[in-house]
Amino acid sequence: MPVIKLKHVTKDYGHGRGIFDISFKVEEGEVFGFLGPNGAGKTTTIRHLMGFTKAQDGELYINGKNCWQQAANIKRDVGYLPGELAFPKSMTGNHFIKFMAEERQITNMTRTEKLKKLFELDTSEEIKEMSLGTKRKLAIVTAFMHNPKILILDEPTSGLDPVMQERFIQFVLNEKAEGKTILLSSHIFSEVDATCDRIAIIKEGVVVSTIDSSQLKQNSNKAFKIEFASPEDYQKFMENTKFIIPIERPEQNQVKLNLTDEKMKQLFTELTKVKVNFISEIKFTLEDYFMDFYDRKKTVADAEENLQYGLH
Amino acid sequence: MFSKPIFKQSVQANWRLWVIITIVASTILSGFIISYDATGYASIAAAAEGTAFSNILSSMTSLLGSLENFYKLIAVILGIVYVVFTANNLVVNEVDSGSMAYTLSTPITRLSVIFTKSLYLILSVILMYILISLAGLGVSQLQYNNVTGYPITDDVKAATESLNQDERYISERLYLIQEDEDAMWEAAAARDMDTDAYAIYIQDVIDERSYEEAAEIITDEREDIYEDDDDMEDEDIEITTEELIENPEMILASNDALAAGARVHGFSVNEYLQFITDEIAALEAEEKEEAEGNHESAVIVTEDNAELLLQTVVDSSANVLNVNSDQVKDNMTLIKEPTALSASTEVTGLTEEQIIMMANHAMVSSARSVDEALDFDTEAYFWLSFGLLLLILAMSSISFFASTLFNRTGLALAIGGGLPFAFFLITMIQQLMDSTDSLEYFTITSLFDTDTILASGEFGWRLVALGGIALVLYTASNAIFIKKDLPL
Repeated sequence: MPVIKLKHVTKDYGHGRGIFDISFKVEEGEVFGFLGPNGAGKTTTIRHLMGFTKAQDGELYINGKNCWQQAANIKRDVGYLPGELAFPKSMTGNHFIKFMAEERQITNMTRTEKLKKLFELDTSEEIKEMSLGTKRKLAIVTAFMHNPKILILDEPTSGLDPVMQERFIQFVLNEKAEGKTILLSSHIFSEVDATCDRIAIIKEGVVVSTIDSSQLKQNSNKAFKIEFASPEDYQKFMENTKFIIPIERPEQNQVKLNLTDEKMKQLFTELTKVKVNFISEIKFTLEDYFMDFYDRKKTVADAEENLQYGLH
Repeated sequence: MFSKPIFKQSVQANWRLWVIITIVASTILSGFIISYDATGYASIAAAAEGTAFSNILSSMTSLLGSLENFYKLIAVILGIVYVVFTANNLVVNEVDSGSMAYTLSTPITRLSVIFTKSLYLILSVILMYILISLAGLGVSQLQYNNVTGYPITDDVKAATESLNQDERYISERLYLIQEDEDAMWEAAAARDMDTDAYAIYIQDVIDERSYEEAAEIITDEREDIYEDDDDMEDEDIEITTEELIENPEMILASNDALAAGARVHGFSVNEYLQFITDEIAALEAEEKEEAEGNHESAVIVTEDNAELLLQTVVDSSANVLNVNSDQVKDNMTLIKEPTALSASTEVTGLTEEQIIMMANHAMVSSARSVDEALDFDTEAYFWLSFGLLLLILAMSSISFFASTLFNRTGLALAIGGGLPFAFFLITMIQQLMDSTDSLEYFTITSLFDTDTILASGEFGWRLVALGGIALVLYTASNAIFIKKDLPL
């Protein structure tokens, strides 16, 4: 049974804003990335999962329980890190932690203390005096203090310095190793890349693609850029090659081509017959893949095609 | 339904404003009570007697009546400030800023969030107005001793000094003043009377109090007797002081009433029994005399001409003593000066005895109306306090409703604060101008009708309506909050 399940969830705010027919599942122990530009509908989707908002259409379940009707019940197992840091007014960090512990009916604070140490959080300050990074750490500590089985993280590292970002990614990986189910919404590729098993890309309220991150990492499609020593070499290669050359740059004696691992040998056989200045692999990253969606002129089909051929 | 941590947090976030408003309102109420000028109010009442204003003023001429501005304006605006800001703080602020998300990410249901927050607002308003009312009660008691005992008037204070006794002790045993010549002298001077007039006054007060105490006991006994009798209305069971004065025989039937009445006089029960019997005889004699209508004097003082005659007496006394009439009015003993007396007999044709009696009567009745002005009507005070509380609760329900209905602080403040404030402004306009009756349909403040409460009129359904508004809006707020989309 999937831990998190969305079935055709729609919420139309008008003017093309909202989320439309969103469906995905997150299995137990999986880290699911939710990637998209600002305003794409990531936070709206999470609001539905948290039971803050009622879907116009479709259903959401966590642990098989309806996210709207049993919102409070679900929260025992959920740790939620909101994207926006709005704390209650005029409280110190300690006061806020105590308040959240009372609301969650936690009495054992050893985990909280451990988290505070891990993220080097000083909670004695008034919250309104805290820097953005400190506020983020406070939100992190209170989201995980009850050791939840399911983590819902909305832009968890924004405001953290690189050292803390890295520490947070390590923390998420540890949680993953403990078998936690994690939904991570972000637009930072490195952290999604580093942690997620599967990634859904959302654009203008629609999930345009769901991919396994292994598909990205172990893509057998490779792309290369080759520069030849002279125009003659370039000509010779072009005449004899059996590869399809999608990009030709005769002025720079360069070509770009893509191939699968099996055809690697054939390429090098062909290249032995000409003089080559350099050959470099064009790495295809999550960022490239995402950028294709981000660029509003490109269609979904373009991006899918790029994933397939690995050329960007 | 109830969440302790949320209640605790609500207290922590809002107690400061609560404390400030409670202290400010209590202080202002205390100030009103301490600065109350009983003599001033009594003389206004006397001046208006018989005119068209007397009805309006009848509710004004008591300590509670003088608090009208507090109950209609000051306490209301202070309450509005508290409920508007607190209601906003409790709900819409947390929704608009997003901090509600933390609470809702815990296993606390929306119902318990909103229920606890409503409960906080309701309980804090109730506690606030209970404390304010108790402060008023306490200050009145300290200042005038008129809540649990008899008011300590100037004559009691003066007599106490002379008798070297406790004020309270003397106020409950006025006969001790009567028994001591020096005390009588001091007490009379303190009330601007001569001892003759004061003797009449104090006898009047003692008589009335003894009837009052007796009437209370008789009423209690009758309540026990008619407890199960559905045909008897409360009004029929109750024996008022006035009824007893007209018909003192009723006291004779009750030993407890006799004892209570005797205590006021400092009599033994037997002495008191004799006293009542004499009273009854005197009443009968009076009736007879009235029926026969034999009077010796040429001019008869009746209700109709009393005022005019008194005015003439005052004017002619002033004339002959070479002072102005107001000075004479302030110090009626001047009328008893021999020169003034002879001047007055000449002008009015009354006998000297009649004029002296008239002067005494005038002094006694003005002193009695000062006493009356100091009277503390505990029942009216309770209803005033309770009505005010219901009004503020109704106001708070409007603010709370707006605070749950809207997601933006600005809008919630505009409606949830604007509406109560508009009601307040209408009340203020009503207070400033007199002929604005049509306005009363545009504000819920008219459901808290202080005049009707002070006049012991029919105010019940209005208070029920206020309670109804609060109940409906709080319930609606709860229903809305558990169903609405929250922009968190």
